[in-house]
Amino acid sequence: MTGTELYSILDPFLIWIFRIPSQAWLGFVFGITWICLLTTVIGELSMAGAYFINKRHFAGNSHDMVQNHNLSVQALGCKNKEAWKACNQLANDAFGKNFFSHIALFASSLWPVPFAIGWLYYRFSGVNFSVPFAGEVGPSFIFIPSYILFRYLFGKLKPWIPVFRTIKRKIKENEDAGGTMLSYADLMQDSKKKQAEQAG
Amino acid sequence: MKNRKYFAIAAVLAALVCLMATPALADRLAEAIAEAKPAGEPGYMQIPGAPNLNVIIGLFWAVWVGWIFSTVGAFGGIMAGVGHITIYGLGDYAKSFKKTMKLNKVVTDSIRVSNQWLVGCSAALSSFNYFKAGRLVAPLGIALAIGSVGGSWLVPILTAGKISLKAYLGYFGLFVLFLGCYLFYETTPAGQNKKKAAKKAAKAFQDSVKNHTEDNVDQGVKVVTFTPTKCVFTFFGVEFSFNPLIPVVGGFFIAALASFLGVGGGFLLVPFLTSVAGLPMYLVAGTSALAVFVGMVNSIASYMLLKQTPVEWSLIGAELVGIVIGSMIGPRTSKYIPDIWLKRLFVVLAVYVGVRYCSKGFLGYSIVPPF
Repeated sequence: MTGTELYSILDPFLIWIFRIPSQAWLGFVFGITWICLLTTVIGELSMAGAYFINKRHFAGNSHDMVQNHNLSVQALGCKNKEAWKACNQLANDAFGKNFFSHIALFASSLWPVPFAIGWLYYRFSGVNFSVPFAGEVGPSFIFIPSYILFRYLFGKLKPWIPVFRTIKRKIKENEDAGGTMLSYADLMQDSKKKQAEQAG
Repeated sequence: MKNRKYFAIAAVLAALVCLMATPALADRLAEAIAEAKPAGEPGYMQIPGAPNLNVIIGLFWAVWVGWIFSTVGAFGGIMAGVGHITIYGLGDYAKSFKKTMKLNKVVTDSIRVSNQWLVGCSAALSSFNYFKAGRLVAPLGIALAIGSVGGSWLVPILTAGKISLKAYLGYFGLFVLFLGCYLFYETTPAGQNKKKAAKKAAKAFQDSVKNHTEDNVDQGVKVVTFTPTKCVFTFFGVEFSFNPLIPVVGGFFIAALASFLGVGGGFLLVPFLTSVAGLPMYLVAGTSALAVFVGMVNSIASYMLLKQTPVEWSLIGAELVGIVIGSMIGPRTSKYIPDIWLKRLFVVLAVYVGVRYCSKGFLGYSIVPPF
């Protein structure tokens, strides 16, 4: 199947909303909003699915990273540079695995976006969009910032949206099981507390 | 609060670069097609006679890429590049035009941008989440980003429209061979012993510590000496040193290479920060995501706005789906395949791909089958 064939299949599901208002620019705003909503919801559900299928793997990676990092912070508190180097190296190795597996996870939330952009070019490549300061641009110049803003707002609203609220809570529970990362600020607080105890 | 301010500055810098880029007034692809005069049914990017990219093939290749991302980690970007060049037949198609023709270079640039999109989008969200978690130590990130922006801005300006597929293949092959050597080192006894020693030391410390800390007279960071090439400081009384030039120069070369070859740079950057620079993991997490993100935004903006390189979107979409599937399968299979055998498999693949592309690129023919 080629890209063009795919866009022609998607066309009826996407174009209908653009045609509702009689004014073309309003139709375009409705349409872009609809596409942002579709891509965000499908993407977020895909990411949740990908996460829960391998939640033990993600939790394990996170646990290794957090545990070794916390040990390195404690080693610093004990002024043990060799232990710090060893624990930090292991933490960095675990971080590398965690980083790339999260890149793959986030890709799972972005997969609808290129198809949406491709469809926009299939439908609107002949249209001249003029934007102040930038001149003539393609539809992706309008869609991409709209999608980013929509996604950001959706993230803020998630605690109030039924299914996504549950997903967010369950992911947090799974990640928190790996422990909380200590920061160097925690070390400073411990040190200040100790000094206060000794002075008192 | 301070970190948010620095992140906002970095984001504004990235946005400024994008906005300052002049949108192309001429249709670069149309010019290239007019010059080449290809014949036949419209295919890739609507070029007459170009191969029709089957998104299903793209999907299956990306499943392999996703599997690698979730098991070994860094090799994924290279595999994406291999896919674009070989599996989709784009490489041979671009080669069919004479080296001097613009169409050869437009297709090469398109391959590079397609690679960048895959990793760039994902790194963007990673950065944002690390920033939200407050793990972004911005000054170091900014230093890396300055190097990255420099490298990834200059390279597209200097090379977009100038690299023929033959040259690109050769350099890509060299990079893959280097990757094979790096992975091979990790499977040798020397590479393995380093990790075993670290594990032993960490366990010994864990068993002995029991939340004991010494009385800390020195708190926080105290700079002992600072020169352009060496900074010595103490942190909680423990002495560290680093070369300030390393983050900037390292960021520059990694971003330049990533921008030139069109692969993520994450493979180079993460080991650079963790092994070469030896930074605390706390600093590495957010800073590597930020630097990768800024470098990506810059490269893609440079290619798309400055030189108007077209992108086949359905191909990227199919690849992202494939990555998702592959990264779901990967953790399951890694239970049955030990880490060291995964790395050995990739070393063999890296050597094969590296030798094939190097010889095709620099000699004009492959010295490994299929010839």
